[in-house]
Amino acid sequence: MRPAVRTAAALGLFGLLFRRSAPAAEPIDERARMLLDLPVGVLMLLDEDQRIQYANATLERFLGYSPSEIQGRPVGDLFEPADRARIQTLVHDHLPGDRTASGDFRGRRKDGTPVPLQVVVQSAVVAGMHGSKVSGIYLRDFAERERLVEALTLRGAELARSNRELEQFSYIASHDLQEPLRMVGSYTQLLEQRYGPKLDDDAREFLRYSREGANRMRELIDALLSYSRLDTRAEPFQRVAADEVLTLALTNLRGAIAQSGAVVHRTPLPTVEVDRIQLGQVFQNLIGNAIKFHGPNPPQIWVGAERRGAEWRFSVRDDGIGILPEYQERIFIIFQRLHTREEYPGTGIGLAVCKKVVERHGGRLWVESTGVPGEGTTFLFTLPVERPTLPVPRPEEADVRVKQSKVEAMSLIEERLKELV
Amino acid sequence: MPPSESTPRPVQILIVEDNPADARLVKEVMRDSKILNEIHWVPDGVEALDYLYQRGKHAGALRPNLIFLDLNMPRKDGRAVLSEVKADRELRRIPVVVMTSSQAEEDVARAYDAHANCYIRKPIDFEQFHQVVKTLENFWFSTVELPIR
Repeated sequence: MRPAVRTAAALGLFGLLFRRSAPAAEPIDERARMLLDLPVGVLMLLDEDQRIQYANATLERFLGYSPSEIQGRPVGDLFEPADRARIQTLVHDHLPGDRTASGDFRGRRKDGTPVPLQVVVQSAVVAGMHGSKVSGIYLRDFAERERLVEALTLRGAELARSNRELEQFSYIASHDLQEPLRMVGSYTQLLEQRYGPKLDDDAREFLRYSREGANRMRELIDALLSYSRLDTRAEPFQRVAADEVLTLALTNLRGAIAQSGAVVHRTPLPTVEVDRIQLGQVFQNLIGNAIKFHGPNPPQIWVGAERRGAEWRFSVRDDGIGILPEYQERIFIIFQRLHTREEYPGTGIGLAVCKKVVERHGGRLWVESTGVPGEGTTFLFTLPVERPTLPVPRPEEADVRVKQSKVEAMSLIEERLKELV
Repeated sequence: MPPSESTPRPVQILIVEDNPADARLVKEVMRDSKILNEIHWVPDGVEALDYLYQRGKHAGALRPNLIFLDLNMPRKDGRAVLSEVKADRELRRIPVVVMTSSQAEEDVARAYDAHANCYIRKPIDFEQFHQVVKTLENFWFSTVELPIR
């Protein structure tokens, strides 16, 4: 069980106990005690005079008092003198039935040392106690929260840095790899041009394979470069009509469309907030694939979008060769291909680019296909109707984001704490 | 090739490039040129300036009619060479073709700010490279008029 869930469960049980059971002196079921004593925080029950009726075993670890020695003492004894009035007010003013009240306090251990505590109060009127008000108190080590904030902040900063490094790495690697490759390719070509006629068939074949290898590697490096540019050369999001973006993509594909005799059926698309170049790439890659992997007849392609709650769901459907379900995961991985280059040319970058773009925009991309030829393939992707509140950072914004991450971590923890009470 | 009365003086081209294979590629493309040319190669910016100022082992160097300048080089890079050449009243007349694999848009802007005569991104494909060198040759030695000195 996650600590948060555990704590919530313990509090829930605690609530049940003090609402239903008779005075606190009555024995508590063993299973209930086990739960109450989970070392996640201090649980206490106070009577109307704010005297401690019950405390779980965690109290000793937190504050040094054993549950029995604290019984009957005012709750204020557990706090620094300066905070006593405040805690009394918090408990006193909290009305039965109110959700909860909470605050940060300075606790005081038995040995006199201070300890930061978060206090959560829940009150109820208990019939068994002659209709008097009782309060349940949950004490949580504040230092733990501080540590959590720190750890999260650090994690956020590390993540941002490693992301940035990764982006730089793939960009530099692909750029620097091009240089030696240019030499291999160029000199192989020069060799072929100048000495080809003097060489025998074997030598010319070997040279051809070298040149083809160099070309292939160049394609892969280009692909890697364009993939890494999705982050490094990203444009700010703008509101654009997806119809216009699609029209432009189809214009870019007009050669392939004319050659294959493809027919693209389109229905009106919404306006979305996107990097228009990147959305264009998604349309172009998906429709390009639909054309490339066609069946015996000229491809029929349907492009559309429908509203599903807070998202637009775009689809690109074709009547091509389909993709067997067992391969449907692999196709989104960079450089993964399902066919030989002789069957279908390509580097295996297109869908990886689509996936990265859609995810940058806060959406999802997936495929639906039976793999039966002629039944075709449908690629679906979502885009949020409203732009996500936290935009994906560009590398130059990463530093700012690291600074923000402490604030974000704080609010995340606040939220998590609210879930608990 | 010593110049004589009957043959025209070969055009002088200086290649400033740290990769000898790259420099050689230009030379190979220029080999079958219709224009008589002499290609000189220096591997970095320090030697490039020695060459242009005829210092040290380049004391007898002829002033080039065209400079091919790489940007990223050890010791002294192409950006420094470009600013020194364009700050010199004598040398600034020599057209400088910045030829680099740098993809940085900032490099392009800075090169023109420093009065580069043009900026070329080295094509990766050999055929295109061949074409680019031919185009440059044709432009600088057939199309445009260059100062005598």
